[in-house]
Amino acid sequence: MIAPVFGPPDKIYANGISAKGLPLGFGSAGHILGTDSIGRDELSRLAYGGRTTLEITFIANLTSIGLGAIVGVVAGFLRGAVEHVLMRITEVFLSVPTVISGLALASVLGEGVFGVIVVVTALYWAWTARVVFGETLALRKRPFVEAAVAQGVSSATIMRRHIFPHLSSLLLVIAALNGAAVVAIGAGLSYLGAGVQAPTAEWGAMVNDGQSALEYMPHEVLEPLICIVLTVLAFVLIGDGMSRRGSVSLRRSWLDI
Amino acid sequence: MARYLATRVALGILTIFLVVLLTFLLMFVVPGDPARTIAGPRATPQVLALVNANLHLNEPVLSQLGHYLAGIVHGDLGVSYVQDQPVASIIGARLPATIELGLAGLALELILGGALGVWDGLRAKRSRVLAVVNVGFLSVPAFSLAFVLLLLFGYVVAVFPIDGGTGGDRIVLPALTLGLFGMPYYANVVRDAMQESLSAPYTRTAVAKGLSRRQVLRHHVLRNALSPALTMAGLDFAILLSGVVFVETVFGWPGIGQLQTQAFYNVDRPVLMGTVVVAAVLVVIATLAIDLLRMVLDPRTRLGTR
Repeated sequence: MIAPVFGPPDKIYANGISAKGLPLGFGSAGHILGTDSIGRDELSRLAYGGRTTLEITFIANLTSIGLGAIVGVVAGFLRGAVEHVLMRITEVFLSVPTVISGLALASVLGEGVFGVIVVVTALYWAWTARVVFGETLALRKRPFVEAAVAQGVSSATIMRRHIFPHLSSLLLVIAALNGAAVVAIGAGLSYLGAGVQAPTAEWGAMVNDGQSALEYMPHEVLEPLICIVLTVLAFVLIGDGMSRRGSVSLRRSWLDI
Repeated sequence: MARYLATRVALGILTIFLVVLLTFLLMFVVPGDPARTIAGPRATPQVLALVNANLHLNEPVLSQLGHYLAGIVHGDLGVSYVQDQPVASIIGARLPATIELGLAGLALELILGGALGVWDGLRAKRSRVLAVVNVGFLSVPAFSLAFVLLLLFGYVVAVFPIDGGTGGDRIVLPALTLGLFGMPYYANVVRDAMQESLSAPYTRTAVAKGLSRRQVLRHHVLRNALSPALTMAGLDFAILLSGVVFVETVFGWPGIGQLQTQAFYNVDRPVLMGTVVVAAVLVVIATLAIDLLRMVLDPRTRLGTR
């Protein structure tokens, strides 16, 4: 939100390139974090890039968890044929490595912020679905649910009134850990060129921009990298703090290679 | 037992089929003209029609899907739009590099993670080292870790060549990235298993029998503690084999992951689909193999057939 303070992200500064045609390094006058290879200010690009990254993370986290939670609760509560169909689909999504399918999906669903959100949702809903499914199976046997069933309350109402409220703490933990993974994969896809496209500032895409100059201008790669790592770290720490009381832990495949 | 096995195999095949179906349908909705890509922008309508007929592109969707499925059963994944070679042989050519990197990475993961887990497991309380490693390495995405290692050991202290190729010690950095990345997961699994094993009745019995600490650890505790790590390693290997996109891209390692990135840039759909299908097959086979292996090795799991 405070991004505009640091100036426009796409402005190419005349003084942004040194006399030798190289970008300015870390700590240059006027451009504290330096500039990139075409003379844009790194600090303002980082600020705007963070906006893009957090926007993607927030929405994709919400959609993937929402979809996963609904599938998990419905499959876990209704059981029977519904469970078989839904959990089979979940298995399918879990059985393909994240980045591999991410690239394939991105080539179909298109790039840009919206594309990344759709791809990330498609990749991550299944983890939530499986965790929520297990939890719902346990909740289903609790007396208050059985009482509601015996009273003849409709399934939809039971799921909404009795099951979802009990999942809220679990979903919060998932939100933090899933958020960490979403930041990483979102930036990762953009790094590969399968995510947010130029000229939109995004941390992963900035790493990609800077990698050709890695040898003489490492700040162009390091600064967005540090931002990515710190953001993921924040999510992991929140999740870690909350999950002390819970049972969900970060899974290997959440942060994929 | 046989029935359980048959169900598992059938479910595995169903999963693969669904993956193929989904990828196929997805690829089908993409706008684009493959025949134009193959034959070039100046191709005559006759040539385009010929290409379409050869690839069955003029047939209905279901019939195309049928051809693709029939091909997969015969190990045929179609022909690349860009390279004019069968997808199966393109992937096959990349396989050795990926296997090499996968094995090296897996070995490092197991060694680093296992050592840390065992060391930590011998303490009653979780050590600070593991806590730091846990949070520290979990928050570093693989491509960030790859860049840090690349900068440190490729430029700052130029120990390893980073010219993008295989052979010699070029494998060290990518493998180390994988190893460090996977380390915390293994360390945690091994640590938990160690703790469980240390307090198990059989360990108490072994101590009461008067066995030395070393013997108890080696024969009773470690044997049981390492089995969950091996289970994890099986699935991990399948994932590593299906291509480590980020690490291969950063280091320019010519494996399946890099192939996939290139296929993405070239909009080479058969290759993209092929890599996804191969990945799904590998993961399904690995999951099945691990379960079977565990049933053979650990009699306790045999009765617990879900």
